[in-house]
Amino acid sequence: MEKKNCDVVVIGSGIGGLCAAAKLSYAGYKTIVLERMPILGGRYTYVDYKGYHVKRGVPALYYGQRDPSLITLKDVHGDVDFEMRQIPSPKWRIGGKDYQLPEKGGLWHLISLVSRDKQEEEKVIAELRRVFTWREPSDQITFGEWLLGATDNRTIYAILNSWCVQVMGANANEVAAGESVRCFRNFTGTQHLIPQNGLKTIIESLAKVITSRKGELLTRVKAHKILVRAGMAKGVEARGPDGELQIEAKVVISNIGPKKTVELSGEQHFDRGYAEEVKALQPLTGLHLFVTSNGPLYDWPGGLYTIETQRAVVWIDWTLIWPEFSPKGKNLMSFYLKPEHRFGYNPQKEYEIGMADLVATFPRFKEQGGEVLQARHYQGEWPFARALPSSERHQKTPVENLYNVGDAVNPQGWIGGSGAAQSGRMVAEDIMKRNKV
Amino acid sequence: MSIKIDQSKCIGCCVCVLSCPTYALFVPWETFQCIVDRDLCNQCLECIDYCPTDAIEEA
Repeated sequence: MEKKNCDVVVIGSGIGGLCAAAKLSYAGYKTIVLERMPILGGRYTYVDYKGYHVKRGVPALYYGQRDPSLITLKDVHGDVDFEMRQIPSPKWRIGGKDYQLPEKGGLWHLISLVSRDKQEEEKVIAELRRVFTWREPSDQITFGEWLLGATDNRTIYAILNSWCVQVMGANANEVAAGESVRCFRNFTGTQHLIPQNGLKTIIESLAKVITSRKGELLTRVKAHKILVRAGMAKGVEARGPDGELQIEAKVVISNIGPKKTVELSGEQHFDRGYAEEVKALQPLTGLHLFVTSNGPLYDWPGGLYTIETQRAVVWIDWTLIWPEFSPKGKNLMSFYLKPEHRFGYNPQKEYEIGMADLVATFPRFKEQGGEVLQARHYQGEWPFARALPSSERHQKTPVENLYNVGDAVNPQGWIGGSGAAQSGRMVAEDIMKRNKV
Repeated sequence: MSIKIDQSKCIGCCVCVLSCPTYALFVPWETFQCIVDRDLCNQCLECIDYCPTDAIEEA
């Protein structure tokens, strides 16, 4: 068995793991990253498929210049000399008409469009303003429940539900009210940016920092055991192309989700409360459809939000932002199908509903040579997110020097890959405070 | 040498589909489970390392 020694071993090269590894190796910690797949990045990268450059999961930097992955790259003097293009704000289709909203106050504008009268408009806006600027609602109820208390206008509910699906990937009736508002507040008014090679650019730039600082990035190496002695993490056992590998480390960071962290360490090392918290984590699931056509189905690069569709609410043509991501003359659009309920849905039925939404929204789909390039089902070990947004997020585990990073432990108010990056930054900072090199 | 897909483990994520250099893998919406076109498969076995659920094995 080959043996290695380091300060920090990171299991998984998703954006959380790589942000932590980049910060730590830059600060002088000997860092080893283990990735089971042949490529880095997990659900935070782009790949080439049939002439298209497509996202594997996250499509963009959702917090613009203040996105935690970009801030990490700047912290560690990584290469940020690449072109980025903005996804402009979307248009909303309401009652068959497409509305371009002002850059600021777009939500208030939408509500004024669909309110039955001035009194209703003022009441709803006042209630929303209060939770945004004064105090967020309780996490004991869902955002949907809070919304029903604020308005009985179904169109307003549908608009805010679409907004929920876009920001958090979940319906309003699935997410805690307080955390939803914190996520909205953090998300509103941010630029959404796509680098020139998609998010692969970010991953490659972080990887370069790690290897230039004597860190190691080992692909095709799968961790199968986290070593724990006397309540402390001691390293990892893994299997790679050259056989068994034992890595002793002062700190272990898991980027493969808290469930796997517990499984690889052995449940006996965790108190029952923690084990139950981890068991209760429910992945966010859904279908993602990629369709191609001859020329765009919709001409606005910011995409279209719909509220009268059954499932799909956000439609974006990536070719309009980066023509280089598609073969000449072809356009690639994708849309997310969020089932009404998280479990027990029939994916075939969801697909059929989604295709009906597609044809209803873009009647010229077939005429323009429209085809489905891919229909993905995000679930289980490849979820849309490893957990729903919630107020309880711990990066530290009960085992000393064993941390989780990634989208199951996003800090409060942060969503998706950007939240995962932020969790990696926070863990790196905690390690630097507790363990001096 | 060839691959075998354990349908009870496949979740329909399409990660292997994106990794296949000969486009031999496909996830039809009727099942959301991966199938392999043996005429296109060049037996590079890359997909085994990509599958997030260990559903693909060397057969």
